[in-house]
Order: sequence, then C-alpha cells, then structure tokens
Amino acid sequence: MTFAPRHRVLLRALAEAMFSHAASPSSQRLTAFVDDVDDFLSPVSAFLRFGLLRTLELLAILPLFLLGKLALFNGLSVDDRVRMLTRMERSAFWPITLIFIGWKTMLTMLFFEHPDELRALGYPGDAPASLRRCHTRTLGSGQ
Amino acid sequence: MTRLAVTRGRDLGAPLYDRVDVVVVGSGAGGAVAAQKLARAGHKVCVLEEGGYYAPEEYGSWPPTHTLRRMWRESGLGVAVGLGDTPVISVTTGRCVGGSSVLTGGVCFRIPDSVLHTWVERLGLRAMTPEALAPHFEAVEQAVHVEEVPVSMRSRATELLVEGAAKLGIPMKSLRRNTRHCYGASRCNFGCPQGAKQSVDIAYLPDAVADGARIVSDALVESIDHAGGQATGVRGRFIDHETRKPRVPFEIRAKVVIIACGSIHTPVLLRQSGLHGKHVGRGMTLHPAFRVNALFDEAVQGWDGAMQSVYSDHFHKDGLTLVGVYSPPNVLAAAFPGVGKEHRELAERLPRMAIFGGMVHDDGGGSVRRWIGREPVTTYRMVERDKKRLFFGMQTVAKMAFAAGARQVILPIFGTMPFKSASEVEFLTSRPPAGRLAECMAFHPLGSARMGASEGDGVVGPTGEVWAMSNLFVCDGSVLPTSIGVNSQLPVMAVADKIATGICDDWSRLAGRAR
Ligand SMILES: Cc1cc2nc3c(=O)[nH]c(=O)nc-3n(C[C@H](O)[C@H](O)[C@H](O)COP(=O)(O)OP(=O)(O)OC[C@H]3O[C@@H](n4cnc5c(N)ncnc54)[C@H](O)[C@@H]3O)c2cc1C
Repeated sequence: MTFAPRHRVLLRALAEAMFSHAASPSSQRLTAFVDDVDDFLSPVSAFLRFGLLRTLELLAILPLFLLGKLALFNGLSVDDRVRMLTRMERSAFWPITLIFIGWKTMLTMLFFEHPDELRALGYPGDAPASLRRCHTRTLGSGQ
Repeated sequence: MTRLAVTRGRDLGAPLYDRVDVVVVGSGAGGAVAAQKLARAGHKVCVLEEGGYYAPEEYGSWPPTHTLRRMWRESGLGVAVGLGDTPVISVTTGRCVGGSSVLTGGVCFRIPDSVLHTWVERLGLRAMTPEALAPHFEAVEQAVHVEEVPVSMRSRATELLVEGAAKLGIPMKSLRRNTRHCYGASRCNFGCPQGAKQSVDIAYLPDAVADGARIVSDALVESIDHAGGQATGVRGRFIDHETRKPRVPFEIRAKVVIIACGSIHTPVLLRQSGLHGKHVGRGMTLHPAFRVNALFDEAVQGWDGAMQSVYSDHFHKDGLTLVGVYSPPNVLAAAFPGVGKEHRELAERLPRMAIFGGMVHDDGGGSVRRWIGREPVTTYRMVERDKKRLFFGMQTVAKMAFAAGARQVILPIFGTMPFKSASEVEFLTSRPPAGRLAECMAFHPLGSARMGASEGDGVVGPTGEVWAMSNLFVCDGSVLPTSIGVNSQLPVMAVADKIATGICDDWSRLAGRAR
C-alpha cells in the first residue's frame, strides 16, 4: 500500500507533534517514519485501511471544532497540534479519544522501536537481558 | 532448530488438487494437535494455513512491529466493536503457521474443575469431566513441555507487585509455561528470541510432518465442499506474494474435514459454506483483559525476567484472574498518556515502571458476522456484572501497586492522567466510569461454534462433529461452550486432542461412510 500524498502530509504532522519533546524529530526521520507506517499497514484488510484513512482525514478538520481555528491540522504550529491532540485524548466525547488512541498506539510502537529511542528509554535490548540472566544462573549453579 | 518442511502456497503457480484422508484447515493450537494425532495414527493428512511460514530463527530476530505485520492478523489492529456501554476491545489472533500459539505469553492452565462441572451438569456435556480430560491435558503438557516459572525468573517489577499483593492479603502463585531453557527476554508475544517457547510450530507440526503430514502455507480456504449432508473436502486460493490477494485455486478432497480456524474465522468459514445454525458466530466470550502501569522510585527493569511469571486466583469466585505481565518497551510506551513532552517524560521512566494485569471470566456477549472482504465484523456487549469485575480488577491492581510503594499508577481508562494514591482509585468501584472508556484487549476469543449436547444447543456435538454436517469436525477454541477464566491455549489443545482421539477411534465408521 502507498499512502496518498495528503495522508503522508497528515501523518508527518501527527508524528511531528506526538514525538516533539526537546526538539522535533528530524525531517529525514519523519520521512522514514511515514514509510514505516505505510509498510506496517500494508497487510491489513481494505476495510480497516479505509476506516483508518477516513479517521486521519477527520483529524485534518478537527482544529475547527477543538481549537476554534479555521485551519487544517497540518497547517497548525507544532504547539497547537500538541494542544489539539491533548484535547482529543482527554475529550469527554469518547469517539474522538478513540480515534487519537488508535493512531497513537500504532505510531508510538513504531517510533520507539528505533534503536536510538530504545536506548534513550534505558532499554538494554533483548540479548543483553537474556545473557545477563543466563550468565547469572550458570555462575549460581556452578556449571 | 530446523526449518519445518512447509509447501509455500505463494510459490505455487499452478492449481493444486489432492486427495487425502483428513484435511485440517488452520495450523494453530487446535489444528496442529489434531494434525499430529491423525498423522501419527497413519492417516494421510494435509494442513492448510492462510498465513505464511516463518522459522523460529526468523521471527525470533525481528523487532516487535515486524512480527505484528507478518504474523498477527490485521497487524494486531483488529477490534471487537463495543455495543452499548462496552469498551472497544482490541482482539488479537495469529495468522501464520502455528497460529496464535506462536504469539502466546506461554502461560498454561488446565480448565478449572468448576468450569468443567458447569459443562457437565448445566450443559449436559457428560464427556467433559475433569477425569475424562485429564489424559489429554497430560499428553499436551508433555508435548509442549509445561514447567513452572522459577522464582529466579521474576523481574524486580514483578517481585514488587507480589509484595504489594501480600500486604493486601492476596496470595500470588507461580505460573506454568510451555518453555524449555527460557532466559527471559519479556517479548514472548512477538516471537521467542531463543526458540524456548514450545509453540505448536516447534512442538507439534514437526512431528506431524515426520509422520507424513503435508503443511501448506498461504492457503486460504474459502469453502467446505459437501454432498448429501456430508463434508467431502475444501477449496480455496493461495495468497499471492506480491499483491497479498488470493489467486491460484486449490481443491482438496478428504474423508474427514477438520476446521480449526480459531474463534473469529471458524464461524466465517461455516457460514460461507452454507451452515447458518443459530449458534454459528454467536455467544463468543473474550476474557476482556486490562493492564495497569505503576511507577516506582527505584529501577525495576521489568524486561529482565519472564514476561509472565505469577498469577492470583484469589478472586476466582468473583470472576477475575490477576496476572503479571510485561511487553517490549515500545509496546508499553504506546499505552502511556500524554502527547509530546508529557508522553516522553513518562516513557523515559520506563525502567522504573512495573506492569500487572488481569482478565475477566466473562459472559458470551460476542458475535462474529461476515462482512465485505475477508475479515468479519466482531461485536461485543459487556454485561453489567463484567464491567464491575473489570473496574474492580483495575482498582485491586492499583492498590497492590500503591501498597508496594508505587508513586503513580496509570490506569487503562481514556482521558485519565496518573493517579497518586490508593484513595484516588476508589471511584472505580464507588462511581465507576462508563464502560466504553476502558482500554481493553482480548487474546482468548472462544465459543463462537460452541459444543452442545443436542443440535439445538450448539454447533458441534460432544465429539466435535458438526451437528448439521457429518464428517465435518471443529477442533479449535470456538467449540469451548463458555469462557473458562484462564488462558486458553492448553485447554484448546487438550480439547483438540480429545476430539482427534475420537476421530481415530471412530475412523472405520467415518471412512466407511465417506463419499
Ligand atoms: C497475543 C496472544 C497472546 C496469548 N497468550 C496466551 C497465553 O499466554 N496462554 C494461553 O493459554 N493462551 C494465550 N493466547 C491464546 C491462545 O493462543 C489461543 O487460545 C489458541 O492459540 C487458540 O487456538 P485456535 O486453534 O483456536 O486458533 P489459532 O491458534 O488462532 O489458529 C487458527 C489458525 O487458522 C488460520 N486460519 C483462519 N482462517 C483460515 C482459513 N479460512 N483458511 C486457512 N487457515 C485459516 C489462522 O491463520 C490461524 O493460523 C494468546 C493469544 C494471543 C493472540
């Protein structure tokens, strides 16, 4: 599957806001990330893909309703996008929350899988954890 | 480890026609056990699996999202739509050789005696006594190497929550899992990196192949052939490697047809084949599950140990099982609230985060309906009692965490931020939130083609044979007539072993009447 250009723009804007902290992710990283999302969704059924893309399009016009701004989501500043997404997450109208949580779950899993991000979270990786444990047990049993 | 000899349907350019004794549709927990048993008895067996084949060395080296996209149905994004005040529940299943068995946390339980007594006494399934099932449980436990998780495999995160539970008078027990030489990497659901988990692609299918069974991957069965009320085979198409669409046709004639597509897809195939009984696709149970994150001052390194090592059946009578759990960091981070900086700050506290979960022994409020395209629509209506159980479970785990010294607790409830004390989570039982605000998941869909003592009570009879069609059997989680309150892999395998044993014992009659 390949996203239409308008979906790529929206996803990029979404990822940039979701993962901005000290600084926004680099432009290269965002491009590669959108490709990853595209690839991740390639095996899903046409129906699910259709539904997900419609929710992305809905997100594009939500600034009007959530921030009172006549602009598309990707036209907002990063701070405004963060503000809008925070409102979505805490919205009393649960379908809005659900749309955000659906995308957030998928994007977060993909974003934080990058080795640099995992390291930044303090994760030592699968192998070291296993080997540490194996090593400790071998020493303990005197083998 | 050796690569399993699998015929890859995606590589077959020409239609395939074959004639066998038994065709098994689906290579997961139920299908693999049935295939192995029947092949061992000397029957010519063909297993058809919609998903692809990946060797343990391959899937064990992939990052989690690679496994999700290749081996989980719908990349793990499938849901049951909540009806009424019911959460939207993430429902996950496998689509690969080995089925969901490859994705389990390895947790192994027998069906509790109290559940079996209900089946016998209330549902009239007299052959489902604990004594009658015991030899089948023993056989599968031996085959998949069920062992108790040693205390040394508990992460510090788990130990802390066990301490917290003890302070509240909730005893914890060690889980049993189907592992061999597990070092603990806490990513069982995404393919064991050590080949330690004895999923059916490792423990059953190689034996089936050694006994002459043929396994064909990328083979989507689209209908069951029948004549005169009797199953005669199946037909479908191989999934194309490039387009991922069904393409080259196949047709397999068989004396006995076994459907083992799992609880979501078995009813779809039955309906596609003209079997529209009132129980087909209805009454499905899910074991709605939740996860609570707890933040401690000390580093608890939840990833450093077995992904699942302890559980509590203290609330068994209240329909709740509590289970220790962990996941790869990127999967856990997905559940933290906040956006941008706020989310990042929580994610960076991951080494100090412990996780514990639970699942509800639920009523059958689920149904599966065919829909445009391959995937069905799954809906679920949670009864009031189960909602109470769900929120009580979250509260109990939160209290365990605070008793263990947690600074903050993140509840799986939309729109909430971390809670800072046990008193702050009292609302879960005093003024429970709307059910649809809960973040739930389900790994054990069961009962969508339930076993019944008579034709009016279920889709299959006590032997697993479909009431409405002879020589057609169902051998997967969909036959379990009620939820069981414990993880379902071993129960599915034991019931499959029982059904397959029955087919072997009754072979001359079944083969004699085959067309
Ligand atoms: C993430 C996860 C974690 C779990 N953890 C645990 C655990 O720790 N302990 C536990 O006891 N249980 C666990 N379970 C549950 C357990 O895996 C299932 O209960 C069990 O595997 C169900 O067996 P089954 O045979 O019914 O279906 P499955 O194992 O799902 O097998 C069904 C197979 O049929 C195939 N199929 C479907 N339709 C067709 C078709 N039309 N043509 C061809 N093939 C088809 C599917 O692709 C699939 O491979 C977990 C499940 C998941 C998803």
